[in-house]
Amino acid sequence: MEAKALPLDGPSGVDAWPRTRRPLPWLIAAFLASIFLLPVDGIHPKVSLPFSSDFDRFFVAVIVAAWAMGSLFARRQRIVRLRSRGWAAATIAFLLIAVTSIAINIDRITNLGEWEVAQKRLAVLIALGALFAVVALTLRVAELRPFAVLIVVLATITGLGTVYEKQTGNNVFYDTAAKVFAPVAEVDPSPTEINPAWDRGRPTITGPTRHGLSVTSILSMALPFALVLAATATRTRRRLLWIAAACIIVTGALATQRKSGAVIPAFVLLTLFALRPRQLLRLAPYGVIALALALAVAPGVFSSVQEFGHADSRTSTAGRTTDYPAIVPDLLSHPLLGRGYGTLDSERADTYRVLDNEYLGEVFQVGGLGLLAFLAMIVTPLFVVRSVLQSDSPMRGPPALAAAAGCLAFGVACGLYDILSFPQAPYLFLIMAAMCVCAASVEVPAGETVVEDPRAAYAAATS
Amino acid sequence: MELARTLKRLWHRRRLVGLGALLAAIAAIFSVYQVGLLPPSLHSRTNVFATASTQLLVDTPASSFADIANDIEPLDARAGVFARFLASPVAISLIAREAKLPADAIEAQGPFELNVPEVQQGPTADRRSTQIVGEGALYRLRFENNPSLPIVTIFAQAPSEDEAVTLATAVPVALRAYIDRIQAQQQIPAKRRVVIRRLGKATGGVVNQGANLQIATLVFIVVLGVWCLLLIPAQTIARGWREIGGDGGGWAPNGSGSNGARNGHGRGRDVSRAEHERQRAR
Repeated sequence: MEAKALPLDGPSGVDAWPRTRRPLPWLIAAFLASIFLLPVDGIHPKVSLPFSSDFDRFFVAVIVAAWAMGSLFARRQRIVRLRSRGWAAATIAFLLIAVTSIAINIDRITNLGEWEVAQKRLAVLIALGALFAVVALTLRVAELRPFAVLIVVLATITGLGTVYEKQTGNNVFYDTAAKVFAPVAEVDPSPTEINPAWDRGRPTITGPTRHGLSVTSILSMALPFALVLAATATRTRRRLLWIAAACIIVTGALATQRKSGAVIPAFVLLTLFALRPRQLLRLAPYGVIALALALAVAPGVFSSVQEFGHADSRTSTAGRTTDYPAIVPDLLSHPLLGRGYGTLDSERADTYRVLDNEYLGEVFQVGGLGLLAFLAMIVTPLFVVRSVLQSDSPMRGPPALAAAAGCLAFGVACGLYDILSFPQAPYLFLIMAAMCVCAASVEVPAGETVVEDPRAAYAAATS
Repeated sequence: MELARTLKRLWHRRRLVGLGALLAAIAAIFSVYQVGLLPPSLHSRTNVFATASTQLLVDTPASSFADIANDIEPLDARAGVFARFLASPVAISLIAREAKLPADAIEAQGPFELNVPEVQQGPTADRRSTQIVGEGALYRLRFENNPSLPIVTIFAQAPSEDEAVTLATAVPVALRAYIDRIQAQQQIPAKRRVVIRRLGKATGGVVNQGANLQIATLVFIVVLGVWCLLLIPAQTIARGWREIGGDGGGWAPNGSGSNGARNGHGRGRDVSRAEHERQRAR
């Protein structure tokens, strides 16, 4: 069924990534590549800057600077993009609450020596917000599908690298980054450990991230793109290609031997089936064949599923359940705005618990109001994009559906570990959220006059 | 383009932006200072803090440090007991007396258990409740002990370097005095007595020069940014309100029914234009 208010596809197909000389889409593509292929939080440039100079924040600063320069000095655009009302409200609210929570608790934060870590986390949050804004303001509708393809290609490479890491113990992402960035940056050693001592728990397979759960999250968030591209492919050869990519992505997620590697992809599949059952059912026979092949060729790939009954896994579950009563004193003492954003320093194990649940972490740090804003940040892209989810327009519908499922996967992953402690998944989530905003936007020719009131114009154009 | 357009719109409303800057400056001051009116005063809310550390060795009178024949294992266990004892109220009152500080101004934490599963390492609700009560203390002590060594490491935090060093130095002195008293009461023979030796003078330095400037800048930017973000929709709402007044109270849904030529603000014209473009694209 066609959506009631299908936005215009507009004239944006002419100058769109990858066939464009605009630098910003290229920078965004490079940033996406770095999320999937580089240990972005483990690369430390050898320059000392007055602000946090870690690789990811440095890259985001470059993107924001390029956007600002382009916005101030670019020629008048031929098209005006009208975005849904309140597309950035939740992100702004969360940022505002994060800063307020720190400002209110600053006396205690400085007394406990937590300002340094809070400052770093706040810098990451500002970088996340800035990236979301720039991507949402930059992307064009015609660029959504190419970016969806890029995400799948990158996730496939990450999946292959993670499987290779599991088999050999060599982390190609860290090794390559160390060689490439040697002249300009220091790269942390890889945390990979495929044969841990008996008392060290499960193997550590992390891909380009610092934790197996983080690589599992980014792969699971990319999975809907591969499935949607497979479902909408018109030729069988293309469809097989996308299905192969999806299988590699799932295998990569399962290779981490984390329960989440099975839980999040399963949730993604359920979401897609719920939203577009007919299209996704077409893939069912291929899925059965892939499953049978995997069981026959490499049955060990499903070791993540066996993790559900493993003793170490039960300990992990016990750890999660003991978190709930343990944080009650903090919730009662700071119910509204929490103890201050970024003050939950898991390195101080004598003071703070490692909360394996981002929602608990948020209510601990930014209180009930912050948790609401955080939830709103996850839900807003879904709310914004709802009008185009069922669209048959190949430029909007499939990328919107995949991005929305990716955002939901992030929401699920938030319940499984402290996701904001590792930057890759949050960056990817906000890029997908920006894709949702873009998919629901309306592109109209600018003409000679500038649209004075974009909100009213958006409402009129989509009514 | 959108940034340029937004900046242009803000420039047109520069007086309101100026008002926002004033409000942001007030918010920034209130975020880092406690403002008193009678008499007028400013007290910093952020604390400058310094730390100092030292170590104490739990030893025998003849010193097992250099004598290979002496077994140090019993001393390891005692060091663990002392490290825990030092965080107790009795020890804190002794340390406070030695450092010439009020006992209720000092918060102390015992050694962190290293050899337990990760699940058990984090504080329980009871322990967190105690920690929360002591979070406001300006003088803080933390004790660390490696179970296989007869050494206790002392970390002290205070508002100045001198105070931090004094606090750290007071710990071995207070512990020694307490143990000496017990040994005297129990008449323990000299060769069986435990001896507390301080391993060098306490050293320290200022860790944090305060976060006033950073916090104030952050609050200023955020408040001004939010003010500017709200300014544009607020202007739109105000303009819509005026338009409704001009139309005699009529309401045009989504602005699509209003006539830009009639209201003179161009809003209706632009909306109509968007609709026209849409029709044309179809």
